[in-house]
Amino acid sequence: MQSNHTPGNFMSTHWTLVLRANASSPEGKAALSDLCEAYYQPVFVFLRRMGFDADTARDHAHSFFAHLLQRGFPGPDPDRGRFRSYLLGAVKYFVGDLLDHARREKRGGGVEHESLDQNHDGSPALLIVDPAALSAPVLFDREWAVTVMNRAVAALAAEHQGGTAAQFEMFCPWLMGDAVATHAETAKALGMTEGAVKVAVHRLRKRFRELLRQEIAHTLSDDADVEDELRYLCSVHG
Amino acid sequence: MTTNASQSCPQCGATIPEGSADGLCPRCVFAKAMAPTADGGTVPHVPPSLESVRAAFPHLEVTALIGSGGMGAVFKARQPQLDRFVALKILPTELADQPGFSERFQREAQALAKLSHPHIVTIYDFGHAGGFYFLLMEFIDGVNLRQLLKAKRLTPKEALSIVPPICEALQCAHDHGIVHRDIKPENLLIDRAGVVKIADFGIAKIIAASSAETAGETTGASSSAATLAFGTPDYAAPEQRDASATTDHRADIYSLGVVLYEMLTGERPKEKIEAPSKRVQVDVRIDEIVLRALEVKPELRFATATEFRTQVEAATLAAHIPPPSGAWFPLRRVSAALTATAFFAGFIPLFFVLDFGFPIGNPGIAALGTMLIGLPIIMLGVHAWCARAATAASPDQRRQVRRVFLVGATVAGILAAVGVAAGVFFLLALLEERGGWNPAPDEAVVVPLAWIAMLALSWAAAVLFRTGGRMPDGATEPSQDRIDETARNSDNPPRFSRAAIIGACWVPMTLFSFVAVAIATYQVRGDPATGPEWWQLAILIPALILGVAGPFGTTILGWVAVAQIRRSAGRIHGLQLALFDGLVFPLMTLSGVIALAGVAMAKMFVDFYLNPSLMGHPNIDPPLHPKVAFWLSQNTGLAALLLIIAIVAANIFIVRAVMRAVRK
Repeated sequence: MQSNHTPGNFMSTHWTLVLRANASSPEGKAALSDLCEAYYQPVFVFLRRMGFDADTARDHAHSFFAHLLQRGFPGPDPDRGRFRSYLLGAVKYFVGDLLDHARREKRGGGVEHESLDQNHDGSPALLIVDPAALSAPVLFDREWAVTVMNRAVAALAAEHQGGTAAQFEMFCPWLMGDAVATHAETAKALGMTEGAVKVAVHRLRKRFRELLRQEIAHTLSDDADVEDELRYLCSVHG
Repeated sequence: MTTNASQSCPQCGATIPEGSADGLCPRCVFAKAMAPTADGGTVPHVPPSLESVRAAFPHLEVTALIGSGGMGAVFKARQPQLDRFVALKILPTELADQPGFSERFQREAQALAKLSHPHIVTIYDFGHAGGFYFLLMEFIDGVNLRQLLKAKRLTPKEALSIVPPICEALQCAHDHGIVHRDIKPENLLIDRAGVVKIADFGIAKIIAASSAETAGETTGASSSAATLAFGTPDYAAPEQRDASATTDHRADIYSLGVVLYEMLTGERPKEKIEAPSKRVQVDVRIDEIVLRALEVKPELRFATATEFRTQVEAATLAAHIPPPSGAWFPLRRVSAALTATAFFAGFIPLFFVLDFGFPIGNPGIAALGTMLIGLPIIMLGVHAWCARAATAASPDQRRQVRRVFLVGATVAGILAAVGVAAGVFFLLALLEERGGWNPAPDEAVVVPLAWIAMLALSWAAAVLFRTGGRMPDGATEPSQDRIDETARNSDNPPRFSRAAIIGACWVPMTLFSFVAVAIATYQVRGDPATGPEWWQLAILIPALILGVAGPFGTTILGWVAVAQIRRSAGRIHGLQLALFDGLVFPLMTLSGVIALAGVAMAKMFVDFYLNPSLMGHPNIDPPLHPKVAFWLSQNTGLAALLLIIAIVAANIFIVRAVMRAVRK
């Protein structure tokens, strides 16, 4: 789902658009569905952390998104500024609802006997908390940060298709910092001068920064602070 | 895109999550993305190490790093052979590998090297050494304006005193086609002696062009953003931020305006510019200057740095004096009117004198006639010159013209007064006339002229005094103590010397009384039976008193006015009129004396030699003299002309000598 998005699409997906458009309007729906598709992974990870196995988590994720798209947010008023918080809240509510439902089913109603095995559908893994493991919301945010990064990288890659693709592959690790390789080595490998390498790396980083901020901006409403969100996402990874 | 399971990041050691694109460590990526915050993408520049610089410049003693920024790093160094300190500026290395950079750098550096100005940091050398592009410059032992502003608040006077030298420097650079583009307090250095110098000229251009290439942007907005990245946006002119507009030297003027604003108020101007006078105690004139420099449209700003400078200097010197009125004196119109008046007025008494046999004798007639013919002719000359000079370009020239004209106008006015006197006389004569008015031909001409002259005088007097009061400050550059005096007299606006005006008014009074006496005498002589009427006495007696006192009064007032004007350091003007007052009667007397003496002597001469019997000396042997005497007797007219020339020359000589003495 990362590679299918071209930069052009990004223009239309916007959390603000979603907020402004009501549930029935086609633009709002399209925007929301785009966002949901983009940020599927954090939801999946959250559900996994909640104790569901991979397949179940996937099923739940799908039904969650379907629910979301059809009826909008079912719970109390979410933090409208950021899609991330909104989605997290929605997922939490959804999972809570799921668990309640499962508990109710367990207690009465259906006669099915369910094992207390953790891996079985419906039993919450929350009861056994592993102190070393990270809590689900934190995981959600981390995965969110990774997703944001991935999308920005994908957008950057999309800009460097064709001739410069090989170059891009070489330069990509430089996005992490200068310790990846020396300028000299890279220069030799690509047949460029050291200075040119420096310049290209600088250009790439600059563009990446822009794209990253753009991606973040898409998940925020207009009055929220991109820098703030960026700082937060930076902090979730320690 | 491959995903690696459970890899740790080689840089930070954290676990790279599954699903990270290209195995990128999110921690590092985000950290890197966060790093450059405020400057939004400038070339990350680490200043070169001291050792590497020392190695690159073995002929210099590189002491220390004194500054570093987007423009490069500056080191203090010493040239041992010349035994002087220099500033070594190393340009960012990232720029060095751009194609065309070295040509551009050389071009700019050569252009900068041509700038030799006491207020521009001199470039000693430039080039490429040890992998560094460098500029070797004058070392300024001092602080930059930013540091100064942080340390203390400048008084408005200090702030304004910094601007003129900068403008001079800017003008020099602009004349060489160089625009600084990055005028800001950090680039204005002030040495220990208080001399201000502009640094980093043209560097902004070199670096901006390079970084635009670096960023690989082709859109105009980005290149100007790159320019901005090396100039604080606050000081950049609006057109520098706009991609489509072209920037020229007026951008520097804007930047300097921002600097001036900041010096005066302590803050940079915000979106909505607040006048400095509202925040600090400065003159409203300063407001105008600052706001004009900060105009959004370049064409509304000062056209040149010199214009900025002259405005600031004028505001500094004349801090309390309101700006001169803009209305251009209607030179030609008034000049023509007054000259015509003088012309007519001059001839009226002449007619009068010649026709009615004024009882002062022939020499008197000659003298009076000389004066009265000569002066209108001079007035015509003055008018012609004034009319030509009215198209004078500079305000100084116009002021000169105005001054000369006013002197001439006064004289003309006085003659007009004489004409009025004649007119009054004729009016009286007319009233006296019983049994209808049968004018003789010349009377018919003269009387209307006299009445025109009377009207013209009233108008001329009004115009003269109104203009004199409005005349702008014509003083030359005052010295420091004069400024203080001006400041002390700050409540009084500049004015025309009152003493001079009163003295000038007194002159026609004198002439009028002179004429009045003549009227009375004439009347008494003509009709012994009737004495002067009561109303005539009512006019005559005060006029007589004032008139007799006139020459003395005018002369004294004139010299008093001269003294006042000289003392007032430019606040009071009207030196010419005052001099005129002080000189008119003495010169008239002198002229009269010369004329009388000359005529009398000539007469005596002629009589002596041609009519020896009259003189009672029958036996003188006449060698050469009779010829001269004969010539004199035959060519009275020519002789009179020679006498006139002599009188005029004497007058001019005396006036010039006095003026020179007074001006010192």
